[in-house]
Formats: sequence, C-alpha cells, structure tokens
Amino acid sequence: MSYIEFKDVVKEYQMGELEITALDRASFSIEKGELVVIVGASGAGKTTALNILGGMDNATSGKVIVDKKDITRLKGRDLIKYRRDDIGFVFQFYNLVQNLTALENVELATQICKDSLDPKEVMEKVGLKDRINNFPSQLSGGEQQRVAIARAIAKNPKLLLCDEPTGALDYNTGKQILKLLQDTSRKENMTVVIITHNQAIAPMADKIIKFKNGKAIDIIKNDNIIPVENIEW
Amino acid sequence: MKKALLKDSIKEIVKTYKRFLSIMLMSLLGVGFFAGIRATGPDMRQTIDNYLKENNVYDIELVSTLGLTDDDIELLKTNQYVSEIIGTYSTDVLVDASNNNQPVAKLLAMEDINKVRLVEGELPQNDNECVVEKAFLSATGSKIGDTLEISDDDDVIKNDSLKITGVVESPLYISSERGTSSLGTGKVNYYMYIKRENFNMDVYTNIYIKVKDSQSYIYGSDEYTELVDTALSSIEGYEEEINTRRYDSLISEANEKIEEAQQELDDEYNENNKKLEDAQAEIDDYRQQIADGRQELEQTRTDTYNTFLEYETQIADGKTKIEEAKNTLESQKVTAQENIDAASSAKATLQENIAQIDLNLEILIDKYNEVYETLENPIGLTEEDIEYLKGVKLQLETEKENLEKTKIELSEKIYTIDTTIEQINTSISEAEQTIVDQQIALTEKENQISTLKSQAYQAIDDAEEELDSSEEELNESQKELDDSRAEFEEKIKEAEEEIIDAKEEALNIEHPKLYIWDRDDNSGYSGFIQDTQSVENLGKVFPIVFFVVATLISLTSMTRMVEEQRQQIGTLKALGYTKLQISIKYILYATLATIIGGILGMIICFYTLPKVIWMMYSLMYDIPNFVVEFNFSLGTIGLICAFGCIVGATIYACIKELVEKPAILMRPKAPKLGKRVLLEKIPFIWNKLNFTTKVTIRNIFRYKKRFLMTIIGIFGCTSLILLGFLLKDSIVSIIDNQYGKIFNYNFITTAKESLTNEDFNDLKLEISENSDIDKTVAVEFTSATITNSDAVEDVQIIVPDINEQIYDVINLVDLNGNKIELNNEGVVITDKLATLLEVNVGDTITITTNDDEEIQVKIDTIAKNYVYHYMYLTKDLYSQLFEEYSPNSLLINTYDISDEAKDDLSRELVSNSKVLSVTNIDSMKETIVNMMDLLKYVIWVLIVSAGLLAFVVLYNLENINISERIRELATIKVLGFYDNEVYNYISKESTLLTLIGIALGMFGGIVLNTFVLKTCEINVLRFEPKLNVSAFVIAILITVAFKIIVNIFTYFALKKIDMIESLKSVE
Repeated sequence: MSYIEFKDVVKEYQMGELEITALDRASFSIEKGELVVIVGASGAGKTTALNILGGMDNATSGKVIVDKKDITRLKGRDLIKYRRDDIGFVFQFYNLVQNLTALENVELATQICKDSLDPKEVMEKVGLKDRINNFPSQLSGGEQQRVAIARAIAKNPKLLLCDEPTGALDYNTGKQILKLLQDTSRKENMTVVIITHNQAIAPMADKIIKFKNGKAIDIIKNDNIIPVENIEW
Repeated sequence: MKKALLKDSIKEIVKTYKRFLSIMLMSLLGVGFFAGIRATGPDMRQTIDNYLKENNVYDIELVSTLGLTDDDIELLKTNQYVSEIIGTYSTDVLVDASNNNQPVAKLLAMEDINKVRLVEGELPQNDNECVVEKAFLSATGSKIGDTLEISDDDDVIKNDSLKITGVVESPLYISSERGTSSLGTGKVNYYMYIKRENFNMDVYTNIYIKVKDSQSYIYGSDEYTELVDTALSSIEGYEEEINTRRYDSLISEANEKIEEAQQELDDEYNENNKKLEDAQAEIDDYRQQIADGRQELEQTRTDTYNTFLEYETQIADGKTKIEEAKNTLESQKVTAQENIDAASSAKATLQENIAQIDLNLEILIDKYNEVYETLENPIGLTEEDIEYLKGVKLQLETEKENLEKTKIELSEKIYTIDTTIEQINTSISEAEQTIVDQQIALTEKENQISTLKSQAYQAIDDAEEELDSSEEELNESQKELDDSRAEFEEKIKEAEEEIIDAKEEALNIEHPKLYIWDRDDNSGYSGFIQDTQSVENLGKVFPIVFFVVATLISLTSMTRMVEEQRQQIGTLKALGYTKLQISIKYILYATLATIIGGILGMIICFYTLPKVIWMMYSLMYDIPNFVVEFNFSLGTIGLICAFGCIVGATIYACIKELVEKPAILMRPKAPKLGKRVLLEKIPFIWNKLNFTTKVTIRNIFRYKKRFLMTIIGIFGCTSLILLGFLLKDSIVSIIDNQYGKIFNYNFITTAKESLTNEDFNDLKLEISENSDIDKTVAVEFTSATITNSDAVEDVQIIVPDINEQIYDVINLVDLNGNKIELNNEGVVITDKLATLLEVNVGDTITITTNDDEEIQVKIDTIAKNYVYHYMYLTKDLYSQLFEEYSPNSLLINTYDISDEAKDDLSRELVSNSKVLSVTNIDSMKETIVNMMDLLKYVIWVLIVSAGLLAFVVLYNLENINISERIRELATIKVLGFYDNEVYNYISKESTLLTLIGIALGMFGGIVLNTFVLKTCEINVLRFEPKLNVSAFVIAILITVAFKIIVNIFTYFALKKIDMIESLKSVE
C-alpha cells in the first residue's frame, strides 16, 4: 500500500440546480518522498483533488488514505488537526499574512504544530536568512513564495501541497521556486505534490499525474528525472 | 440606467441583504432618532397649543390689586389687538374637606374663555354647585354629589355650600403648581369652578383677552410671541388710565361713603341726643322734687325735734325738780332721822332713866316692903328703930312718890318724844308721797310725749322712705339713661372712629397696581415651554450620537462594498460604461438602504419616541391628547443628512476607484502594507507576546479607520446605556437627597389660622409630648414670588421660631456643605432658585408677597437643595421686612417608627382641633418615587436603541473585518488553526477595541449625564449627577453582552469561511 492512496474519489458540487462533477472516480497513489506533479487543463479537477488531499474539502465518495489514515472519514476538528500536523500548503498567491514579517509568517505555522522545525533554520534553507524581518510587502514575489514554502515546510508536514506555485512568478523566479521544492523533496525526503498547468515542468517529478474531466487519466512514473535548472520552457 | 445594471443592482441587494439591512438599520436608527426626538418638542408645543386653542385660553391676562371694572373692559375693547375680552372672578377659599383637612382652593368662574374640560359628571347648573379637580377627590376622599362647605368670611360668594357635580380639568393649571395664597400654608392646593352668578363681587378680579389673529400661530412660536408682545405693549398703554380711574373712583366712593356715614351719624346724634336730654331733664325735675320733699321733711324733722326737745326739757325740768325735791326730802329725812335719833337716844336715855327709876323703885319697894314688913311685925325692933323705920318708911314713901312722879314725868317726856318722832315720820312720808305723785305725773307725761314723738318721727321716716324709693327709682332711670347715653356715646364714638378710619383708609387707598401678563407668566405654560426646549436640547445631542455612529458605519460598509467590487468596476469601465453608469449601482444601493431605513425610522420614531418622552412629561402636566405628527420637514432633514453622508461616502468611494485605469482595477488592490508598531521597539514586551497578540496590535494600527469606528461605536453605545442608568440614579437620588439629607422631618403640621401665638405654643407642647415624636420645630411657613429681571419664581418661605432649632429638621448647608447660620443681614435662598434668578450672594432680589407687596432683600447665603425653592430667614428679619411674625406650622421629626405608626400619628395629628392640615413627607416621597418609576421607559428606550446600535456597529465592523481579511483567515485555517484559534486571532482585536470603547464610554456617559441633567432639569428640581458603581457595572455588562452576541455570530461566520473559495479567486 502506498503512502498516499487516492481511490475512486468523486466530488460533486451543487451549483444552483446544476450538479457539477469535479472529480469522477479519480484514483492515484503517491509514495513517501515522491515529488508528484499533477497536470491538466483548467477544470480538470486537479485543484479539487489537491484540496481533498489537503483536508480542505471533503470527497463525496471514495477513499483517501494518507499514511494509513483515512482522511475521508475525518470531520471538523480532526480534519483541522490533519491539516495542522500533516499538511503544508503553498498557493499561487503566497497568501502571506501582510501584517507579519517573513519570519513571523513562518512562526505563525510552527507555533501550532508539534514537530515543527526551527523557523530561522527553515528561512535559511529557503535562502531568506537576511530577509527574515521584512514584511511581505517588502519582498519580491519569489521571495514571498519562498516564505510561503518555508511556512509550509517549517511545519514538518507529511505532505507538501503546492497549487500553481509559480503561477504568479516570472520564469526565473519560478524556476528557483521549483528548484527549492525539488531540493526540499530530495533533501528532506518530503512528499511534495505540485499542481501546474504547465506540462513543461513535469519532467522534474518522480511521478506525473494527468487529469482530465475529473479523472486521473494517466499516471506516469518518471524514470528520467531532470533537475529543474535543466528544464526549459 | 441600463437594464443589466439595474438587474445587477437588485441582485446585489438580494445577495448582500445583510449589508443592505445593516445600512438600512443604521439609517433607521440615525434618522429615526434624529427625527423622533427632534419632533418631540414641536409635538409637545402642538399639543399644548391644541389644548389651549380648544379651550379658548387667553393670550393676555390683566389683574389689578384693586380689581377691574366694566369701564376697563370697554376701554380695552377699543384696542385693535383685542378680539375677545372677558372680566371674571376668582378667589381663594378654605374648604372643609371630609378628612379634617382644610385645603386652600382657588375658586374660579366658568367662562367661555379658559373653558374647563369635563372629565366626569356634569358641569354646574345652579349657583350651589361646583366642579373640582380630580386630585381634590382623591386627596380628600370626597365624591361627586357631596356638598362642600366653604369658609367665606368676606362674603365673596353667595352660596357657601357647594355640591360637587363633576370633575374638570382647567387649561389654566397644566402643572401641579396652583399658585400662592394668603390662606393656609400659603399655597393653593386645588382649583374649583362655580357658576359666575355665584360670585358676590363688585369688581372683576381678572380680565382675559384673546389677541386678534393669535389663533393662527402656535403658542411658543416666534410669530405668536411677537404678536402677543406687540399686543401686550399696546395694552400696557392703558395701564395709567385704568389705574387712575380705578383709584379716583375708589377715592370718591370712599369719600361719598364717609359723607353719608357722617350725615347718618349727625342725624343719629341729633335725634338721640335730644331724647336723652329730655329724659335727663325729666329726671332732673323729679330729682328736684325729691330734693324739695327732702328739705321739707328735714324742716318737719327739725320742728318736731324742737317741739319734742321743749317737751323733753320740761320733763327734764320736772325730773330735776322731783330730783331736787327728793334731795331736799332726803336731807330733810336725814335731819329728821337725826332728830329722831336724838329723840330716840333721848327716849333711850329717858327709858334708861325710867329703867333706873324702875330699878330704884324696885329697890325702894323692896326696902319699903322690908321696912313695912319689919314694921308690921316689928318684934325685936326698938321703937326708935320703928320710928326710925317709920321715918325711913315715910322717907321711902316720899322717895317712892318722887320716883314715881319722876317716872311719870319721864314717861311724859318719852311720849312727847314719840309724838315728835311720829310727827316727823308723817311729814316725811307725806313729802315722799308728794314726790311719788309728782313723779308718776311726770312719767305719764313723758310717755305721752314719747309716743307722740315716735309717731311724729314715724311719719317723717315714712315720708323719707317714700322719697328714698322715689329717688332710687329715679336713680335707676338715671342709670338707664346713663347707660343709654354711654351706649349712644360709644356708638357715636365708634361711628366717628369708623369715619376717621374710613377717612384714613381713603387717604391710604393705594394706587392700584395693574399686572398685564401673557401666557409666559403662567408658571405651568412657561415651564412647559421650557421643558419643550429641554427636549429640543436633548434632541440636539442624542440623535447626533446615533447619527454620527450610524453614518460612519454605513459609510464604512459602502466603502467596503465598492472596494470589494473593484474588479467588476474595472471590467465595466473596460467595457465602456460611463463613471455614472458604474457608480449608479452603488449609489442606488446606498440610496435605497438609506431612504427605506430612514422612512421606516421616521414612521417608527415619529410615533413612538415622542410618546415615550411624553409619558414622562404627562406626569407633570395635565394636558390631554398628545399630538404626534409626521413632521415631514424634520424627517427630511434627517434623511437628507443620512442620505448626504452615506450616499456621499458611496460616491466618494466610487470616484476613488473609478479614477483608476481599468487595468489597475482588474488587478487586486495591493493589500495594506504591514507596518511595525511602536511597541516593537520595546523587545522586552514585544517578544513576550504571542502571535495573535502581535497581529492584533499590528492590525489595530493598520486599520485605523476601523479602529476609530469601533471605538466610537462602542463609546457611543456604552455612553448611552450608561447615561440611561446614570440618569435614573441621578433623578431618583434627588428624592433621597431632599427628603433624607436636606429635610429631616416626616410631617408638616399646619395650625389653624385663628390660633393665637399662645394657642400655637400649646399645640407645639401638646404635640412634642407624643412619644413617637423626636423633634418639633415651630416655623412660619408661607410663600411668595421672587422676581429678578425676567425670571419669576414661586418660593416657599420658612422662618424658624428659634433659629437654632431649624437644624434639627433641616440640614441647612451651603453648596460646600458648610452649615449656614441664619442672620439678620439677609435671606438664605436655595441653589436652583439662585440659578434661575441669575443672582448670587450679596445681590438684591425683589419678593412679591401674597398681598402684592414688593420687598427688596439681600441674599446672604445660597443653600443646597434639590426639590422646590425655599427661602430661609430669621424671624427678626421677617418681622422687619414682612409683617408680624406668627408661627403657623410645625416641622415634626419622628423617631424611627413603622409606616403604620406614622399613619396613626398622622391621623392623630389631623384630629387635633387646632390643626388645619398634616402633610406626611413619606407618602409624598412615595408618590414621587412612583412617578420616577416611569423613567424606566425612557431608560429602556435608551438601552434598547443604544444596544441595537452597539450590536449593529459591532456586527458590521466584524463583518467588514472578516471580509477584508478573508484570505488571511482562510490561510490560517488552511494552516490548521482550530476554530477557536481563528476566532481568537480575529476577535482579540475587536475585544481590545471594545474595551477601549467601553472605557471611553464611561467618561462619555458621565459627560452626557451631566449635560442631560443640565438641559432637562425641571425648574423646581436640582439634579446632581450621581455616579453609582452599579450603573457602570450594568452598562459595561450590557455592552459586553452585546459584544458576546456579536462574537458568537463572528465565531460561526468564521467557521463558515470557505477556504477554497477565499483562496481561489485571483483577487
């Protein structure tokens, strides 16, 4: 059994009278320490899958098991606890708390988990040692995203989920971010899931999952992993 | 407007109905409160105006100290401003009420002007009927149908027994103030109306005038005041004429009367004097006759006396003679006795001699016998011896012969002597017999004379007695006559004195003083108008608190709304819609919310707020039919203000966004920059804070607008709630202050007016002996009016009999709490009175007594006091300024006894024949306390509306806070913050702000309380801000309770935040 099992997950939304099926019996699995890239067009269901995986949303049916824990059964406080202890999220728009400094943003996450890492060390890891006392508005987009990643990994999560982490960044910065994620995965043996619509970055992953119409239509185990710095798009 | 936009607008409202409702509610509260409270003043004025118009109440009243006449009415009728004029009567009387009390009633005539309103029963049809006010019935226990006895010493009304036919309300007395009186305690207690025909007065006491066109204006309005002022000054032009005429007529009347009286007196004198003199002459005549008779009698008496004197002299002479004869006889007797004695002794000698002779003879005879025998038997004898014996015999014979011869001689001599003695005795007894005879004759004569004499004197005495009785009769007549004369003279003297008095009086006839008053001089009306102004003042502050808070909140909401829809605005702009077309949606949104809310607010508050406020005032004023009006102009002002603020803010927010290029608008608005706060420079504190606290502190300074809004909102609400409770405490506390801290007496006992000072002292003594009573202090209780420039106030005057005793029952202290010593330098007046009169220590005020006498006096000290106005002065100063001091009331302080005991005591006091009335302070206090209970309505209105405001403010701000920071919140939720942690993260901030707001609100409440107490202070009350801890605690608790409710809402709102939705959008 894999570290993460995503089995026959269905997610239906009620939009007025219309019923939308975002996930239609999607299934995949992820091993511990894997860097997974999920690709697919807009509306393919990849974000929904990530949200369910991250405990932000409930599946209508199906089963999601993370490290032997069936998270589809979690509700309320347990679900929050799952997010709190096991999940690190990185968003397209960083979602930093504007009113906290970079370091404080990280501390915001670490103060609530049990086995958190030292925020300063994490900041050093993401290469922002000198900017720890800056407010987000004083940082560039890439730096902000680094803070966001630092915030996510400082929690020492089982799973780092990244939703279009480079979507708002320029090419080079995007690359640096992806490098950071790849390095994190490698060095920390962190399970990382990255959502992107950019197929080009797929080669950096251990596993590539393609989404279409709410289904994981293709799961490719990448045997030829290319370091991010070598990927061009 | 394009159809799509309209649709969008409506959809927007439906979608964000909470925001719409909150803006609506804000507008409702703001406009409603503004309009409602502001409308109360005009509503109250309209109410009194309606009432006064309905009852045809005067505009101008004339009162003269010497009365007014038909001539005055004719004169005033010629004035161009006068449309209606009527002369009428009124007087103060003592009424014998059923419960022993003798209240003072103002008796008025029912007229077409100042019409009374029948509440119950019927209006009087006959002269012997009356109508009373409701309070009279409830206080005295009388019923309709009862007959009241009126003390009418001056005979000013014809029928003194009046049957109550009904209960009325007089438009002249809208407040509890009934004016002052020279009777009883100096205060009129009730009014009563009788038929005009039942008055027995020569002159009118009042003239009432309606001013032409005054009906067109509302009482209290500038137009009305201007019109009546003009009319007043025009009428003042007649003052001299009216006064002079009245004076002259009184003088000539008086003189005429004096002349008449003099004439009568003279006639009377002449007539009666003659009669008396005739009678006297007759009496004198008789007296002369008696005197003559007496003189005659005296003569008779003298004559008789002389006659009898003569007789008596004769008798005395006779007696003297008899006496003399007796004396002579006596001396003769003595001589005779001497002779007899001599004769007797001669006789005795003779008899001795005879006895000697006899003896000798016997011896001789013996010798002879011997001799003879010897001789016869001469045996042994010698002849010689015989011869011798013969010779001796012969000798003896001879001797015997001699002796016998001598004896005969001697016996003859004795005989002679005896004869002589006999002769002497016979002559003496003859002489004695003569004297006796004479004496008898004399006595007879004497008796005869004596009888005659007594008869003569009896006759004289009888005559004298007759004279005496005649004289007595005469004296009686004289006495009668004298009495008659004395009476007559007394009468004449009295009459003369009366004439002199009348003359003096005529000379002393005062120049009449004419008072020309308008409605403002009626303390009820002016008080009412003042109160409407208080309410208006209140209306200037309260609504503003609501208004400002409400507007600010709506403004924030709308600004937020525009900001939220930045992208849509950008899109529309990019699509080529004009700025107006784009902003019209928001303007429409704001307009609809404001107008609907405002109109609802007007509808609700125009009809409810004035009524609630009126509930308070209706306790003090007897005015029926409170008018609530939809005051469109006022409502519009509020609405325009709200509209201007809210819609203006919306437009401002739109413009701020619309100036941006569409491209910029499409992009999310750069989030507010994070900033370090000053506190971070103090790592010592900062580092110890946890994140949420740090965030809270940074956020507070980051969102300054919200920070201010929250504080202002909470501040406003807490202030208002606190105000409500403080007001209640402050107002209620005046009762305890006045009747607990200032006045320490439980009863005022008023003595009957007829009591002399001695009787009064007896009463005091009698009462003070009651075992329930601690202190009894005698005072003179009276009332007067004090004027200073425009201010006119009624004041109760208390003059203690003994200065030191006043402190037993009244805590007479100045404003700093120092004991006031009464002195003869000036008077002590109470604090509020000084304020109203705008006077201070050392100033001089004018006191108008109940007899319309004006007295100037200096203010010595100002005393602390809370209810009504009082003036204290020493009795020396009182006698000097006013009139002779005569105490009429007893201020009684009981020991700590039960209410029942107090009731018993009250009954006992009132049953005393010397007592006129008894006032139980405790029951009075209770009445006021009950009245004050109605305050809670106002408090509740305040609390509910302020609470509503607090709730809406907090809810709105929290909503905005959440919506502004939704991403941040979604983020921390994603990070795995538990619900309560999320809640803490956001609510700490508003909690802190709420606390600051509450703290400030405490001060705000105090300030507002002070302000409201100052503006709403009723004339006769002195409010003192009272800060009870409980009020603060309750106000805090209520605000906190609202905060907790809002927090519960917030908690669920936070829980409901959809992380995915919030984070998905490319803001």
